[in-house]
Amino acid sequence: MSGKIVDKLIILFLIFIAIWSIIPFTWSVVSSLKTREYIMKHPLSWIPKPLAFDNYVKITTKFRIGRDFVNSLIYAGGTALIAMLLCPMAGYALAKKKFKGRNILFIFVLSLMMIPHQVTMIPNFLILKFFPLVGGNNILGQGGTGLLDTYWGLILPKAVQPLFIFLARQFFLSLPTSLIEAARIDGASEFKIYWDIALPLAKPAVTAIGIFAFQWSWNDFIWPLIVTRSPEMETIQIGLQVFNDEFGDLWNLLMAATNVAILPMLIIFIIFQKHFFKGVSFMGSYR
Amino acid sequence: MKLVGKKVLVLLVLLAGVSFLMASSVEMWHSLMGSKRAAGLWLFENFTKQTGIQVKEVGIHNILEWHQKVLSAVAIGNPPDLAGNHYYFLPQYVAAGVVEPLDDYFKEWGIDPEKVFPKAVLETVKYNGKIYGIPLFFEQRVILWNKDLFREEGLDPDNFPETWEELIEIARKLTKWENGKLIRSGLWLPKSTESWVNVFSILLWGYGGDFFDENGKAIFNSEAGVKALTLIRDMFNKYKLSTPEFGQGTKGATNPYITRQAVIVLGAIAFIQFVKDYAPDMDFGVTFPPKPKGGKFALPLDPFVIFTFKNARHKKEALEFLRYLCQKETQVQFAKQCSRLPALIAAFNDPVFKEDPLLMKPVESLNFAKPLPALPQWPEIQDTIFAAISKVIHENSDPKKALDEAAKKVNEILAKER
Amino acid sequence: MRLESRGAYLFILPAFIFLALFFALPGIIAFILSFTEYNILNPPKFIGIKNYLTVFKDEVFLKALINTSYFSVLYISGKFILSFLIALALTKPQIRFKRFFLTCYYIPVITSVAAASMIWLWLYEPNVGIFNNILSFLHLPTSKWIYSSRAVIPSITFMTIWKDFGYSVILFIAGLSSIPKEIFEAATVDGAKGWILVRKITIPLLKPTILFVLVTSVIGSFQIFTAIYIMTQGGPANASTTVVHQIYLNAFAYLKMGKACAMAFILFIIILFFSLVQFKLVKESEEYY
Repeated sequence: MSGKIVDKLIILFLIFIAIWSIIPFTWSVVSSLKTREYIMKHPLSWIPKPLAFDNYVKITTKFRIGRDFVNSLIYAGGTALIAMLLCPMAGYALAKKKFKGRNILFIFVLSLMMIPHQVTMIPNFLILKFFPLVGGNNILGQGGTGLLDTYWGLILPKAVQPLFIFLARQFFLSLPTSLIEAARIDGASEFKIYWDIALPLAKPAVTAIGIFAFQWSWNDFIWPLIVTRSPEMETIQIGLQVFNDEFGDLWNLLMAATNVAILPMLIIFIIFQKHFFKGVSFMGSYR
Repeated sequence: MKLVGKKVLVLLVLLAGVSFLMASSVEMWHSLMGSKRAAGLWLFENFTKQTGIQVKEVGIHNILEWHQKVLSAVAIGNPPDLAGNHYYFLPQYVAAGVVEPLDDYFKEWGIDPEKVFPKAVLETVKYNGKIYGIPLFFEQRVILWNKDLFREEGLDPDNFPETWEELIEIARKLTKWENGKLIRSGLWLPKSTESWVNVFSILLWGYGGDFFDENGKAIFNSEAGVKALTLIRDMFNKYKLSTPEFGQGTKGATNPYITRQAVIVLGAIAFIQFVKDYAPDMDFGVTFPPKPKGGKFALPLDPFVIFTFKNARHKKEALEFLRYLCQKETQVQFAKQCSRLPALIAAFNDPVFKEDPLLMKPVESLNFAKPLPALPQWPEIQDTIFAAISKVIHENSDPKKALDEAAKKVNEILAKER
Repeated sequence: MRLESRGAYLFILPAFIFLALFFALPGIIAFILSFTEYNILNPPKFIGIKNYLTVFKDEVFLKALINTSYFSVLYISGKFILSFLIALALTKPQIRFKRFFLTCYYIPVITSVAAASMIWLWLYEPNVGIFNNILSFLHLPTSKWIYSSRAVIPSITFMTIWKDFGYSVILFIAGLSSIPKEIFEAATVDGAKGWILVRKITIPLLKPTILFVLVTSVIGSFQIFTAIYIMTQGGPANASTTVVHQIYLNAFAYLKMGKACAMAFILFIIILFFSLVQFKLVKESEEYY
């Protein structure tokens, strides 16, 4: 087969997969622009008439979506920031520093990924409740509600993930040690070496960690459901399920709200695409 | 002038804050969502109007997720003040000893629960002789049939068969297959765990059987149970009235009953309002499921109950709410707004329900309806029975064998708890 | 040597505290709970290894193990082949609009599983769903998809691959773009072309990426839950129940948290085993290059 034909087939293949990727999302946008009457009469049509843009207004005025959005931002942003701060540090140490128990520690970190969250959820919940000296608790953690129903309670257990440390470690493994050694000979402190030399080179990995952390927290449902109590603390995924119903009456509003929920992720991805791709490029930098 | 204005503002804010703190409130976690949400919101607003108590409500549509949230809260000793959901979650909480019994309060309020609630309904909230929750409404199973399509096929639209055998005959006439594809289902039994176990219980009880004997041993694999499951299997596989996946995943206007692709359907009461909304020009009838020839009418009851916890923070306000639920007007107005049947005898006998041509049969069914076994282990038992029914239908296998295996497993589940 | 390890513990300490408190400690608690009878509402009661014995005899759990393994094999191979091929295609210099394609492929990744499941339920609807409509339009046999005992796991796999492949594409592209061009040029001069090039040069050089994707895929696929929970509830007749689905049901529907923890620990051992095997393989290949 000539190269040109192969290339054309490849493009066709890529387009086909691209369509396959965005059809469900396109469908949710189309559905979100239908009025209730239109959904009742033409549930399967792809061209709504009229275009009900006010669905997007409806979901903010009629429901708590605005406040939910802010709560999700705080939760997702908080986990991302802490993850970006602490995980690269740990990954750096596991990759660049030889110390006793390094391999065991790494396997330990990896193994934590293998415990399903369904069974760690309640213990985590208890740990938050009995957290000493917060939320009305005394030094033994008795008496109050601890970190429950607070932003910190949402964020802290989810901020540091074994996967992020794994990612950071792999990245730092592929960085040349020569720069670091040179700085050491010059007498720089370990932290200065990390902060001024290693970390700037790790910007892509740090960005990748931030994006993943944000994304996981943003899409998280069950943890915020359990940790938050007051309606004011509700996150957007909890707020979305108010549009769930048995018969599909609110399907258009549900899709509108779902799209609003996806939007920040999409925007962040498009903006940070450059960093993101570079962030995971370490995998191939093979020496 | 400005300084005075500021002081007044501060004072007003303080007053508002203080009065807010003083206004009592009660926290309720419920699953009154979807078609019940509007009625639920009315329920809380009306309560506040009557008593001045604010209701902080958290609604979770998915029942298991509601359950997870309540469980976690109870586990740390900080439950919501009120919890409301299908009755089959209540036994687990009662068995753990965390629910507040209401008998003394009934005396205080001057209400005799035996007189205001039907006996079968009380069975769903009564454990060891004590009552633990207030039933609010039912999600009853009903049969809807499309009278227009009956007329088309030359059948009497107002004469719905009283036995399953007759129903199957009629359904066979109404079912249409074309090129191996089901074009129209004569009798649609939507698939879900509750729905199919309900159908099984309708037939099991109809044939004179039951789930457990007086000693709590599983007996649903008796002759009655085998007859029941055989009939269900035949409806799918022998008479081909429908298929298990028929209508699954459809919503709203694509629902087969709405698109006239199903003539008769077994659904919940909520389905009635749904049909009125999506097919306003359809002439349809509502009744309770038929009985087997030589058997009896039977129907499982599924009340939605609300209860409070022993260590609820605002127990006084919670009990106020429970008392409010026992008022006839509360139940009538609520049920009207979400097209369900209320649980109080006085309420469902209100002409609004009793004389509604679509609701009179469901009201009548309250005379013989009874609840499925209210055990803490019921969720697991129900899943086991559903798996057996599912298996028999999908693999066209022997009902007796499947039920025997299920009964064995259920006995094991129950034995462990002793 | 000692200079290097200066302060190593300090670097790790903050992250380690989080991991210890919110992962390790709950994990240990869960392990202890696996030896108890615990219904969440009342304090746990010690019952020794009874839970483990029950779990090994539980046919539904065994079915879940089989289903999970079946899913994993299909998922990992399908996703791997798809994303690898796409990455190869996208790194060909002649192909344009790479960023656009990549964004498209990444959209499923950022959609919440709940929203995606709802949309796919509609796609898979046997009567009016788009997939069957397309198939019958092309005069191909339709499927019952998630409503058939045989097709349910492949259908869920299909959807999950759709959801996740974009991430693997990005990983592979990154890996491929950092292989020095000189290696490819040298190989071509030696006469290697097309698939031979891929097999003998590209794949071996890409081993670290491949293994990273495999390890995380194994860990992820063995824990498949949400799609099952939303779309099939384990049916038809337990044909699609998975280990984590059973863990969830036992913990929160049947209130047998102790038994659920036992299942979780068994799952943990299985995943750990496969991951360690894969890491052994990495160690070996690193020696050759």
